[in-house]
Amino acid sequence: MAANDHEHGDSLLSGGEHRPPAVAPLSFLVPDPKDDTSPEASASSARSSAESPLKSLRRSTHAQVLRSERLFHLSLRLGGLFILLLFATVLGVSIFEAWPSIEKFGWSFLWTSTWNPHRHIFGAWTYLVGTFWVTGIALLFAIPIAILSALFLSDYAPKWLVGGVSTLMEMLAGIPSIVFGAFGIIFVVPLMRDHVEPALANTLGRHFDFFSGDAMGYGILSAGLVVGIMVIPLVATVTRDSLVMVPRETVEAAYALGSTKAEMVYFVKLPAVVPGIIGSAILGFGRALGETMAVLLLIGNQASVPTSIQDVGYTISSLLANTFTYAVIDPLFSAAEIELGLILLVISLVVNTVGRELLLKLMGGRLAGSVGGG
Amino acid sequence: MAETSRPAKGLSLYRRIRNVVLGSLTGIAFLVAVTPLLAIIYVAYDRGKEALSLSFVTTMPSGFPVGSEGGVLNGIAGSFILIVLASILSVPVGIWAGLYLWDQGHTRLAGVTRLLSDLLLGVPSVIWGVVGYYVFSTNTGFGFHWGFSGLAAGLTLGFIMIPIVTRVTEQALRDVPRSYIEGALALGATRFQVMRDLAIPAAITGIGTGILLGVLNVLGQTAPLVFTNYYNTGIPHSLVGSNGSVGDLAMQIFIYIHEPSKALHVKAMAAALVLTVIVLLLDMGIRLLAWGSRRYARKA
Repeated sequence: MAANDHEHGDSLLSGGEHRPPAVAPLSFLVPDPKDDTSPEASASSARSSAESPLKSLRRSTHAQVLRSERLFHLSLRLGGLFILLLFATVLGVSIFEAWPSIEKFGWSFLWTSTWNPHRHIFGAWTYLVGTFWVTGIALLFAIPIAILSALFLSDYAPKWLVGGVSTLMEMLAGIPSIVFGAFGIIFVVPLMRDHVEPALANTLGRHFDFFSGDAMGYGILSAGLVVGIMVIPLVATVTRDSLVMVPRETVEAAYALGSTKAEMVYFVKLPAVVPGIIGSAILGFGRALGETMAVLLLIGNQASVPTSIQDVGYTISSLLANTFTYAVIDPLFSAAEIELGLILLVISLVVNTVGRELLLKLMGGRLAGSVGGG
Repeated sequence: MAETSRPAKGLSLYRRIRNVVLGSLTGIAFLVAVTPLLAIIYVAYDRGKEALSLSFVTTMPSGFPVGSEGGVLNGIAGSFILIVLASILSVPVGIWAGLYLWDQGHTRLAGVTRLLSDLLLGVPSVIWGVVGYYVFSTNTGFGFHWGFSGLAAGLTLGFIMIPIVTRVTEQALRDVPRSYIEGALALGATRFQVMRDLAIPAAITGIGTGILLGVLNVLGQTAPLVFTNYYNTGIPHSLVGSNGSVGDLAMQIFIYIHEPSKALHVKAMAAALVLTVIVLLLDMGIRLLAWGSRRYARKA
């Protein structure tokens, strides 16, 4: 009778019913049927034969559970392995395919400014300078505006407006870069050519050659400005996120000491979020660095070192997007282009890691990512 | 009693001016930041409105040069194909890796994995293009030798999506209250049961948001397509091989805007508006999803 009960209970358990297995956690209390000293051992052999499959079943489930847990553990690790593999692929492909160029030119690749596919002389200098000009102009334009807009979003905007304008800013950060490029060609280039660049040449350009030029519309100034517009929402949103983390007590204390709002913001809030501002500026730098299509459409794509802000130029990413598909015919040509890409990759990785670390320290692990370029 | 010995009431003029100046500077800066972004949408509408109609999104490009008549159906269909392919690769892998980072997040290997997935987020899109070219498209050396094709581009975009999905999945799983999981473990559930019956259902909105965020990020990507797919004015029958390229909305804008043709520029701006509207609608969907799940969580 008792054996029947056990069997019944067990079939329920193995059938996956919701009834909890009443005996399972106490299994160590069930006497071993083979133990002769047990008082129940003498009761009947029928009972012991009914009990032993149950016990063996219980043991095997426990072992199975352990095994499946171990399997689960390992299979999850496999998912993590894919990330390692992907990273190894990115780095491996870049280094492997760039190797002929690395081997041939060595470190001098960095400061050689000749780029001559026919004579097989390649150097990165022109493109490095172009990249840093565009990025520099973009950040000079974007960072002050972004920080002030972040202050507006965190402190100055009226309560009923805050949610709306913050969302607007975040949504505008998602406009694809090709749309910025098309906007640049249709709108920014004519504006620069007809109004801004002649005006610049007639005022500052009279005293500094750096600002004069041919006013073509295309060039590092147009590209830099459009990239700057693109970077503003990212920098502003991240800065805003660190500004709202400043503790309320600190702000109240500043007010209690009699400071005005501007003094509170300038002497208390901004110093408190300096790491956040630097971090967001660095993320913006990383984003601007990898920007491809908008720059490709606007910079003029001429392999020369810009000497004036109105000059045309070339950046690493726009060179790759523009010429890579015919560079692959020549192994050394393509290797040189990929070495440029490798330089870009290394700079981006360093920049993004530093920016992320600064922000993570400030915000405790919460950070949405965004892919640079497009 | 001389009046002058009493301290002046209120703030000094200098402090008052300083207060107003900083406040208005922030407002002006905000306008300077937002105006060009809104101007982009307006200019796209203004310059593209001649081409905009329902048939613009339902017909294939035609005429000479190709695209000066007809619409952008090839681009919309191609973008859709690419996103589906990218999701097929990145959603399982990204969620898998996210589960790993959640389950074994404290181990050293997981720390390295997390760092690398963060680093992958910062890889410029041209580099993804080069990697995609050598892994999928090239006809020499190692790789799949698929040529410039939809499959190559879709999987390259999938590579870009993987770290995004991973990161957001991990974060969503971390947001499941610790007490739920410990309660289930205390009741004797295995880690697998906790994951299947508790953590994933509780985090499913977050994971969905992550997938949409990834889609949003790869939707406007043009540079990887230059290396792996380029462009097609029609819809291909196969996704592999020399005739396997698909159209793409972003690529279409790039090609149209590069042509010295007024008609194509109009089409490009109209296509830019279509792409922007799709992206903004998707973004709004993500926000509604996140907002809805927060409300739901508060009620529960």
